[in-house]
Amino acid sequence: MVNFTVDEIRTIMDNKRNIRNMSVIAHVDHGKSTLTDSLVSKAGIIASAKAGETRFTDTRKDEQERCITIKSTAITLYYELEKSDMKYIKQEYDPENNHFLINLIDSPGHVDFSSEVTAALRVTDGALVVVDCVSGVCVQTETVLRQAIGERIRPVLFMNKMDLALLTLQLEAEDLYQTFQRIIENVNVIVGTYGEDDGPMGSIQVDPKNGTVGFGSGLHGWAFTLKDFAKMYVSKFKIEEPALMKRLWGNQFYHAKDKKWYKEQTQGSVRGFTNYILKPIYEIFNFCMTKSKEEAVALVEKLGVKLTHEDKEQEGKPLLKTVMRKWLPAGDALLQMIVIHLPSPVTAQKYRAELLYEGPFDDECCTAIKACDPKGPLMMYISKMVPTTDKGRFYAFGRVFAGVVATGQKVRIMGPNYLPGKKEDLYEKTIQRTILMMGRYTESIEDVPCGNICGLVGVDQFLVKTGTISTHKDAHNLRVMKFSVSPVVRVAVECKNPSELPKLVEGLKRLAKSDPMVQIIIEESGEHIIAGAGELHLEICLKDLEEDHAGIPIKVSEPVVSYRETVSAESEIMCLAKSPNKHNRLFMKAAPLPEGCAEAIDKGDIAPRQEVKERARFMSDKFDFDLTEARKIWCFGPEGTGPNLLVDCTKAVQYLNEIKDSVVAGFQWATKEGVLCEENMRGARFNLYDVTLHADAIHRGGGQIIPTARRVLYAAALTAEPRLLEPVYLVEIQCPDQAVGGIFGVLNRRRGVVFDNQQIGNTPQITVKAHMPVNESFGFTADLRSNTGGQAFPQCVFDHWQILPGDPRDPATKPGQVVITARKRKGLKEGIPALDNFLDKL
Amino acid sequence: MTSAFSSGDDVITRKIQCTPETTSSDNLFNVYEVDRCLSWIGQHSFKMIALQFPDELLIDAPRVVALLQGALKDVLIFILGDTSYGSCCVDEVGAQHYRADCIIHYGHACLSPTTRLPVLYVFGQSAFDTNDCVSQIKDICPDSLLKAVLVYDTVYFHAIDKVYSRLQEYYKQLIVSKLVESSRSSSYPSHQIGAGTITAHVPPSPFLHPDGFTNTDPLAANPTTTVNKCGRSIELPMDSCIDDYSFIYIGNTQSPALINMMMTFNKSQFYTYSPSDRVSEKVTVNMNKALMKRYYLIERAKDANIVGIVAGTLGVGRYREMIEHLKSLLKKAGKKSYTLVVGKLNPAKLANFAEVDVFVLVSCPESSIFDQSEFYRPIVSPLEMEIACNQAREWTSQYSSDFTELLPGSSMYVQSPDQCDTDDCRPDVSLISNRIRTLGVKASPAVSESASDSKDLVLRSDMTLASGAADAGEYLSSRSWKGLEQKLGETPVGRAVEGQSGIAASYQNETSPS
Repeated sequence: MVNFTVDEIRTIMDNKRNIRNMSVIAHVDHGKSTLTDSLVSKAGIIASAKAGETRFTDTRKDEQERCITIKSTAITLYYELEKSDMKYIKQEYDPENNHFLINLIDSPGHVDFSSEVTAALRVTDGALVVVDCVSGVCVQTETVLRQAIGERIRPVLFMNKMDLALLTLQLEAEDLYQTFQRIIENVNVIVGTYGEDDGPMGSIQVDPKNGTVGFGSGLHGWAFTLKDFAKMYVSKFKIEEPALMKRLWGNQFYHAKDKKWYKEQTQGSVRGFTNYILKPIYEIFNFCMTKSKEEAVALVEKLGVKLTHEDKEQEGKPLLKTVMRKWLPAGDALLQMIVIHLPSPVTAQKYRAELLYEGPFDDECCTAIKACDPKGPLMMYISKMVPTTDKGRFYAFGRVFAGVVATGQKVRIMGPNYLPGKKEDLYEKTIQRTILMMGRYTESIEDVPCGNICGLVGVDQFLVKTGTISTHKDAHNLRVMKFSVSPVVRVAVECKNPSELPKLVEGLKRLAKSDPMVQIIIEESGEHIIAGAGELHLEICLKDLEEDHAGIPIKVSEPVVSYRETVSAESEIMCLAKSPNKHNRLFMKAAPLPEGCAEAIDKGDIAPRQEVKERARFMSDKFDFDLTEARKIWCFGPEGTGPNLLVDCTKAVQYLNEIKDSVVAGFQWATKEGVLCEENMRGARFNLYDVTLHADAIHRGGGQIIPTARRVLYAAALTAEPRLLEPVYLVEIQCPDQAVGGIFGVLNRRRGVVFDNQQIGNTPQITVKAHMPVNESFGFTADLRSNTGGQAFPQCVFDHWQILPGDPRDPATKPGQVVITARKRKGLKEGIPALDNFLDKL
Repeated sequence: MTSAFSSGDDVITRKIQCTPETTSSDNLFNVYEVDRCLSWIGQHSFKMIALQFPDELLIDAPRVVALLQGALKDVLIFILGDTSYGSCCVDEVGAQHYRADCIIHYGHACLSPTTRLPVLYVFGQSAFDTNDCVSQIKDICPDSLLKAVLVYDTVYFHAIDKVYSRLQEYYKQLIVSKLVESSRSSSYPSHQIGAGTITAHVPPSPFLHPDGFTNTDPLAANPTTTVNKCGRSIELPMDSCIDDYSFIYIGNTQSPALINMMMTFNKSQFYTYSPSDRVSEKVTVNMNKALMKRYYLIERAKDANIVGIVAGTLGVGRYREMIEHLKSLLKKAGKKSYTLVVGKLNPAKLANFAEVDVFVLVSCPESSIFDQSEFYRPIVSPLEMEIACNQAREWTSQYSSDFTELLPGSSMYVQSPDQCDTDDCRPDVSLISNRIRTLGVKASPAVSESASDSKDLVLRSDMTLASGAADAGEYLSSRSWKGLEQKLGETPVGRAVEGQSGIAASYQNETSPS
C-alpha cells in the first residue's frame, strides 16, 4: 500500500461527506473486474503496470482460472479530487477537504451469482454500470440496474471495450457515436421504467453532457468523460468547462470557418464528439498500430503526454496501451466521475432510510440513519458472510448506517425473524474485532463510523446469512434483501458413509452461510437438498462443499427442478371431512388465485402483516376479490407467508374463532406438503364454507381439527383439477446471425418458446429471448455451444411459474410422471392418495 | 392409522383385520404348548395366572383356558387382551390389576425385559416349510462361503433347529442367533427383579440363551464374543466383526423386528424368507436412506423447544429411569419437556398437544419405528433425542432403538457433560427452518436489561416475555384464541336456537346422504 495507511483511512472515515460507497455492476464479461483493477492501480495497491492483467478482486483460485467473478469483493480506495473540481459536486460537500474514501465492491456478472450483486447493492449508494459498447445493454445489465434503482442506488455509466470497437470492429467514428447514443438511450429507458423521475433521488438518467457517462477501455487502462476533454479544449474555444461539455455530445456541430456551433449538421460542420474526442483517439490508434514508432511518439508528445525511455522502446499494441494510459488514465477519469456524481452516505441515507428501515420513520434509529449520525445508536446491516482462513468461521460483512461499530462493543444481533419486543432471533454479544476488507487482504481497525463498509469478527454464528446489528434496544430490523433470482435448480447430496453425516451437515451449514442465496434443506425423506439459481451456481457450491466446507467425498444426484402444486378450477363438489371423533365437520372448496396474485404475494404487495382493510381494498381493486372475503383472509401459507390463502367464507358459525389456530396449522401443513407429491403449493385459495363443531370444547381441540383440516384441504385440492407448476427461465442468447438456426433448433427440442429476436444495432449480432422450462435447461449451455460452433452463450434467469400441461393424476402424462418420480424419491406410497382417503360423506 | 379418520359409515361395514380361522382342537395342545405351560406353573406353584393373547389369537383363548384350567386345581386363570401399546410387550400393569403372580405371553414378542412379574413366552407354532425355506435361501445367496447370521421372528422359533442344521450343511460359516429373554446387560444389578428370581422358564433348547448370561462360554472350543442386540444374542468367533456378516432373516418382511434389525446392523446385507407367503428376497432397501431419514429427525429434535416425552410402555424395564434421564437431558439442553401417557399413539391424540415441537417415544424397540407421515409433529426415539441434546454423544451411524442401551451401565451409555457456562449457548443454523437455533441454555438477552432499566409497572404481555425458556406459555400467547377472553360486548347477543340432535355419525337433520 503506497498511497494510504489504515490510520489515514480512519481519519477520512469520519468525514462522511467525503465517502463514496459504490458497486460495479454489469452483464457477464463486460469487464467489471478488469476495470476495477485499473481503479485499484490508481489507488496504489498494485503496481500500475499490472492493471488489466491481475483481476485483483477475483480472490478465489477458481475465479482466476475461470476468469469469472463468483463472489463480490470489497476494496477501499483513496482519491484526492483537484480543488478546482470540487465545485462540480452537486451535493453537500466540504469545500476544504478534497480527500475522498471510496469503498468499491466488484460484483459478479453471471446471472447465477446475482444474489451477490444484491448483497453488494444493499451496502452501497452508487453504482458504476459497465456496458460493453460492442454488445450493448444485455439482460443482466437490465436486471442489476433494475435492482439498483429499486434500492435507490444512483447509477453512472461506463462504456467499456472501446479498444475492441476500434481495433477489431474498426467502426467509423460516426457509427461509434451512434452506438454510444443507442446504449445510453437503452440505459435511460430502463432507468425511466423502474425509477421515479420526481422521486427522492431526483433525476437519475445518465447523460454524457453532465459527465455521468464515461468511455474507455478497462483492459488498456484508459478512460475519459466529456469533462476531461472539455478541460483540454477550454483554452481553444474560450468557453467554460460545463458549457463546453454540452457542445461535445449530441447534435452539436462545429463549423470551423464560421466558428459557430449549430444544432444540425450543415456543410462543413462536424459533430463535436466525433471531431474533438473520437478523432484524436482514432489518430493515436492509427499511428501506433500502422505508422512508424517515431511518428506515433511525435504525435503523442504533441498531446502533452510524457513518455519515458522504456515506453519509447515499445511498438504497436503495447505502445498504444502505454500512450493511452498516460494520456487518459482510467483511474483519474473514473474516480473523478465517482466522486463528483455518486452520492455520499449523507446524501444517500436521507432518501434510503425509509426504504431500509422496517420500523417507524420517526424513531431514534431511523432518524440517526437519515442523518448518518455517528453519535446515534448503532445500526448496521450485514449483507453477507465472507469466509476467513479459520475454517468454518466467517467475517460478517456489512454497512454501518448509523453510530459507530467498535471492537469489544456489546451489540444486539438481530436475525431476519426478529421482531421488536420478542427474543426470537436475537442475541446480545460482543464484537471481537472490526476489520477493513480490501480484496485479498484484511486490516484490523479500532472502530468504524457510519457511512462505511466493514467486516466484523465474532457475530457470524448468530446469523444465518444476513441481519441487523444495533445497540438500541427498540431498534427494528433493516429490511431483508429481495433477490432477483430464485433457487429453482436442486441437487441432493449424500455422503458415501452414513457415519460421515455430521460432517456433511456441518459442511452444508457453512455453505449456507457463505452464499447469500443458496438454499439448503434437509427434507423429511432425509435427503440433503442444495438449491441454487442455475447449474453454474450449483457447480461452484458443490465444489466448495466437497473441497472446503465438508472435506469428504460426496455423491451428487442428477439436478432436479422444484415443482409447485396448484389447482386450476374451483372444486367441483363441496368437500367435507369429519374429525376422528365424527363430531366436527369442515366444509371447504379450493379455487385458483386470480392471475398475478401469487406473484403479488411473492413481491410483498400483498403481505400477511399488512393492514387488513387496506389489503382487502387493494385485492378487490386489482384482482377482483370480493371485498368482504378479502377482509376475512385467515392466513397465508406455507410458512405463514406463502402464495396460498385460507379464506373464511362462513356465516355466523359459533366457536369458529376457537378452531382458527388449528385450521391454520392444518393449512400450513397441507400447503407445505401438497397432496400430489408433497411439494409446496402455490396460487391456490381455500374457502372455508361451513363448520359443524361439538358443543364441548374438549371434543374440538387441535387433535380433532388439525388432521381434519389437512384432510379437507387435500380433498378440496384433489377436486379442483390439481396441476403442477414448473419454473421457467428467461433465456437470452447473443450470437452472430448465422448461428441463429442452431439456437432455434436447440430451443425447440427443449420446449423453448422464442418471443424476441432482434439485431443489435447494425452489427451482425443477434439477441434471442426465449422462455424455457428450467427442467429442460440441464446441459443447455453445452448443447448450445456445440450446435453453434461455440458462438452462442446463454444467460438463464428464473422468470415465472407455468402450468405443466396435463393431469398429474394420470400417470401417462408428463406431470403424472413427475409426480411418480417425486413420490419415489421421497419414499412416499406409490400413486397419489385416492380422494376417498380425505373426503367424508354426511 | 388412517382408519381412525374414516367416516362413520365404514365403522359399521369395516371388517376387523384378523384371521378368522381358529386353531383346530388337535393342534391347540401343541401350538399353545400347554404341557410346557403346565409344568412351568406347577414348578413355581403360581396361583393367579394371566394369559396375554394378541388380538388375532384371542379367538382361541377360551379353549386354551379350558385346557389349562382342566389340568390345574386351585389356580385362577384369566385372559388379558392386547396392551394399550402393542401386543409384543408384556402387559405387567394389566396383570397386576388382577394381582396375578405370573404372565404367559402368547404370540410374537419383542422380548423386552420386564421388571415386575415372571413371564413365560409361548411363541406359538406358525406353519413352516423347511425344504422350501432352505432351497429358496440357497437360490438368493448362492455363495456358500458367506459369513452369515441366521435370525428369525419369534413365531418361527420352533422350526429353527431344523433350518439351521440344514443350512449349515451348505453355509459353513453360518451362525444362529439365540433369543435373549431379557436383554439387560449382565452388569445391571438383578435385585430389582425382586424375590422371584425366576423371570422366565427356559425350555431345554440350546438356542435360548440363559438370562443375564452373556459372557463368553468357557466350555466352548473356540473363544467367542457375544453381540446382544434386538433381543438376539449372536456369538461370533473371536476377532470378527458383526459388520462383516450378512443376515438371513426368516419371518414376515413387514415385521418391525426386521426393520429394527436392519437399522441396528445397518452395514450388513439382509436376505429374507417369509414363510407365510413363501417368498424370499435379497433386501435392496438402502439403509443409508433410512439412516438419513433418522438424521432428519435428529435435526428436528435439535430444532425443538418443547418436547413431549411419550411413555409408550409400562412394561419394558427401566422405562421410568429413561424418562427421568430424558427429562434431565432436555433440561440441560435448554428445552422444555412434558411427560405424556396417551396409550396407543394416533395422530389425533398427539395433535392435541399442538405446542409440542417434537415427541420422543419411550417404548419397546419394535414399536418405536413406524410410519409417522400422518402425525402433525415428528416422533423420535430416545437415541435420536440423545444425539440431539447430549453434546458428548456423536452420531456414528451406530443405531439402536432399544433405549435401555442408553442408560448408565449399558454398552452405549455416554455421560452428558456437566452444564457448562450458562452463557455458552451454542448457536447453530438449522437446515430445516434455515434459522439460527441454540443448543444449551440461552442467556436471555435484552429482556433482563429492560427489566433492570426501569422499575415501572410492566404490561402483562411483557412479563410473559421475561419468563425465560420458550415454553407452552409463549405458544399460547401466539395463538389467536386463548380461551379466556370474555369479549364482553364484542359478540352480538343472539337468540338461543335449537341445535342438531341425533348421533354424530349422522344427525337427524342430515338423514339424506348426499
